[in-house]
Amino acid sequence: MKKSISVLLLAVLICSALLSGCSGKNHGLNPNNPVTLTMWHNFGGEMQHTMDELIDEFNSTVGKEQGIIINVTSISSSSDLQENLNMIINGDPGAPAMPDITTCYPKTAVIFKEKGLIASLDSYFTEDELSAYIPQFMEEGRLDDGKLYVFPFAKSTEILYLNQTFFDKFSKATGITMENLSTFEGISEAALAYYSWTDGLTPDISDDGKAFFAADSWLNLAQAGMKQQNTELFVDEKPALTNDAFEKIWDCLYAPSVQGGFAIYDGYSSDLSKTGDLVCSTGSSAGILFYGDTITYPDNTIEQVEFTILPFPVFENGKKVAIQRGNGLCVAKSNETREYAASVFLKWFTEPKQNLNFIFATGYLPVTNEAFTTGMPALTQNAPDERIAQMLAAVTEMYHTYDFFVAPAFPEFDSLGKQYEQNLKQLLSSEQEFLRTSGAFSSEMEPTDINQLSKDSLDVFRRSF
Amino acid sequence: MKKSDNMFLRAYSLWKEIRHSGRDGLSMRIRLFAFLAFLLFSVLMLFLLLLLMAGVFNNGSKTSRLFLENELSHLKQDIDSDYGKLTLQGLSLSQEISGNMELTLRKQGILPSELAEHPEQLEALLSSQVTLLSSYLKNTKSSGAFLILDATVNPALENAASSRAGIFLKSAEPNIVNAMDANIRYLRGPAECAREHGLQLLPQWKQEFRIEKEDFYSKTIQTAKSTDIPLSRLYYWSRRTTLDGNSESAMLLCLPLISHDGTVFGVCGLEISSMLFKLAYSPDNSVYPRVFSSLLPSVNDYVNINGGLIAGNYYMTNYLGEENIAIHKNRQDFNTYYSANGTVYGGLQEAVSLYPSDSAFSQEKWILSVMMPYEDLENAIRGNNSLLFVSLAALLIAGILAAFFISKHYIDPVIHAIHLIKTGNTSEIEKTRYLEIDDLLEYMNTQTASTEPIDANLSSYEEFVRNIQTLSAAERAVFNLYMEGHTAQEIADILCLSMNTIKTHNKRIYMKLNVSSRKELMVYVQMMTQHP
Repeated sequence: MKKSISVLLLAVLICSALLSGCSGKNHGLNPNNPVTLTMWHNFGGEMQHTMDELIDEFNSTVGKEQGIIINVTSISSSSDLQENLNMIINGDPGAPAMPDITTCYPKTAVIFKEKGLIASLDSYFTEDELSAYIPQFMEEGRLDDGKLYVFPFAKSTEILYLNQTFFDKFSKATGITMENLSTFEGISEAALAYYSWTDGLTPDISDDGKAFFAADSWLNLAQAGMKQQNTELFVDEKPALTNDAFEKIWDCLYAPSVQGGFAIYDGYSSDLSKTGDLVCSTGSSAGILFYGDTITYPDNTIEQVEFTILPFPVFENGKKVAIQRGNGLCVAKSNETREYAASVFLKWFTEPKQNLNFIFATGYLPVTNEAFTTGMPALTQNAPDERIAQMLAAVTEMYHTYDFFVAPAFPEFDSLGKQYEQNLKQLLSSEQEFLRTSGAFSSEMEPTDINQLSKDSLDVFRRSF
Repeated sequence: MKKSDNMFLRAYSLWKEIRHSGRDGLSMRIRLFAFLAFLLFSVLMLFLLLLLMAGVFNNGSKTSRLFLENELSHLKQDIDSDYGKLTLQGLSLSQEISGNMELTLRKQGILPSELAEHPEQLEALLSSQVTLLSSYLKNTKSSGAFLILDATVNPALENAASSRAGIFLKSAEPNIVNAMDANIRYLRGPAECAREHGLQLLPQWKQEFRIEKEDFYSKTIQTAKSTDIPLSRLYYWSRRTTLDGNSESAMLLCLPLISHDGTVFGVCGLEISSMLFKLAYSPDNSVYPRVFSSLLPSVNDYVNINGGLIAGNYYMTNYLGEENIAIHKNRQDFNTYYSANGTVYGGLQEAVSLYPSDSAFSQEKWILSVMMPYEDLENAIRGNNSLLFVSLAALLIAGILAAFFISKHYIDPVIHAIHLIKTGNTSEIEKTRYLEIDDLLEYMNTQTASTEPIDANLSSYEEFVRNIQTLSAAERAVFNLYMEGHTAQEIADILCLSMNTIKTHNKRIYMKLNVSSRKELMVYVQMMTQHP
């Protein structure tokens, strides 16, 4: 009798162990009781429909099989999403709850990691799986402890967007050529000429010239400029503004900025481009969809224009270096089941088929070797959007001839970066205002006088940190 | 032989017994097993009957219905309240804009009816309302605020007939009301207005509205122009719409702009986007992950899924291609909703009154529903009952096993004793602790002892007499009464002891006196009386 009971108990124990082993294999996921993961992303506008479809496809296929539902609860611009993430980091009152998955830059991820808010992803991928991704993209997502926190997802670089239609008219009238656009010094010269030329088109109105160039990120321009001159903008986690390399960058910016040839603008350069208030700008290659093929004037007339995508300019005698940017996906630290579920989604979303679907709708770059080397070139010819095809061709060329760098990811980088942009815009705007109203600046000034003004202004800028 | 094989053999032998039972009668074990099994079965049947009478098997359906009813009730309350509030705020917005614009125009010596003839005034007029629109956007539960004038900035253009000047502001965080620092973006309007007010253009920005694609505009303005009813009866909730070139769909609350002289010179309103609706009105999906709510226009027995907003975990893009979903009320507990692609949903619904009965749009019917794919409902109902059936089945199996083991455990000693009795060695049988069996065995031992000849010689007799000294006082008392010729029962009565105690004493007496039975004891007692 006792022996029979013992056998029965042993059978029950074995069955329990087997069952728990089975559920352990899938990290606790259960298709009959799916786990819902909240997600934030910044792919709205024209990209939103593609994202919605991809997420729904995941939910009704892989997600349904494994018991995972991705629920998007916020779609906003990159800057708005960044602000919300900062609220979470700072624990501000009214801060939203941390989503399970969010698009995030490494500079923000580093702070999340310090606060223990995000999970490292290495343990959820095999070596083979990770080796399928472009190594530089993968490296950018590894923080100071060497672990992967920012999964590559939406990568880009910076390029020069040119309103070819406007430039051709300007070039014909002034002799400025496309050659000018290969260097920042050339762009500076072109900007001064453009402002004067457009001002001259309305002889009855003075000082109403138009801006030629703007940078979506003056910080990135400076970082790239310093790299091109073999040095760094940030040294020991502080801005290094006292060297000749930075002075060269400043000199390039100063004159056209205070004159008006460079637009010192708070929003995206594409805003100015849409209304014909800008000829060219540097910005993310993923911003291609922001540039339409029309310009709308205040009287509602619409002009068809052609845009050209050019490589990121280089400072004279500098190396061809451009920034590697774009965000990735971070996973909130929670429990093994949720983190694993998030990794299943990341894996699926960045598989070549889905990744290519995404990039052709958004203008970001593929993140896997297979998609980059095989899928993209094949599909570029028949891209659904001509603008994206043009951008991808230009960027692919850059990847053969340029070196790329990633922005530093130390905790203070984000706030220092914002301070840089803010200080620069404030200083140059106020200088522009002052010099215009006092009449102290004109395009006929001697270069030495302009240089002195530039040096004085640079001193003020340096002291602002 | 392995232990597991032993168990199987026993079970097999029991099965064989059951199969051959009836030919020679049933064994005690089978009888006992059958009795226990029948008792168990009766108890379970009674339990089942009680469950049926209590309606427990309908619990799954009841639970699901209760969930849907609760969610529907809460959401309807919220939607009634929010949409009602937004309507009042929209009316206030319309009145403010109308008043402001009329005043501004009159200062310029322009009548509202002459607005279209003064395109040069449009940018300034629109710019003057940006702050008001921003304020309403920040302080209402809406995702956008807009104003469209019945005029275009350039009437000379080819497409001027379908182009209208206006402003559309979008909130980046529509679910946060009264935010101090609301992120407002510019979707439509003069770019210079945006720059004046520090607003960023959205990627889909266009300067004017293309009204040939926006039926919410024409419907509102035409209805206001063709009727003479108060503003509070002229507001219009559009079906889900996506502005030309935009990506996010929304329901728009549209109100005409009417001057004091009755001129209808534009439309203004507030927006509830798909994302806002999803954030604000998603049902609790912790139990049913694919449950969603929807506010849909309805016509007879159909709801138009393309025309309304949906809130749930999914974007439902796979389902949004459907035009109409048929409603069938063919189940007691739930409605079923059939879409053209074959997907069936189950849920509940209630009518939502977006308009008063004398509104110009009162014929438009809207329904709020909470539903889920029908398979999810069925799984939930089945799941509840499955658990119950599995539990009952497990109880039955456990009960049968218990009956098997109990009957075996109970009968085995009896069978063992019977087997030993058959072998004739009753004196070697240990106590079974079954009183009746031990008593029978003792009786049989006694009978056996009485039939065997006693070999009593002088030395054994002398040993017997010596050993009497080793008896304890209680044992001696029993012995003396045996000497007087009393039976065990009589001794128990005389000494007021139990039979068990007498038996214990007997055993000790026999052991100490080295006799194996009462008969042998009495032989020596006889010898003592003959030789005192």
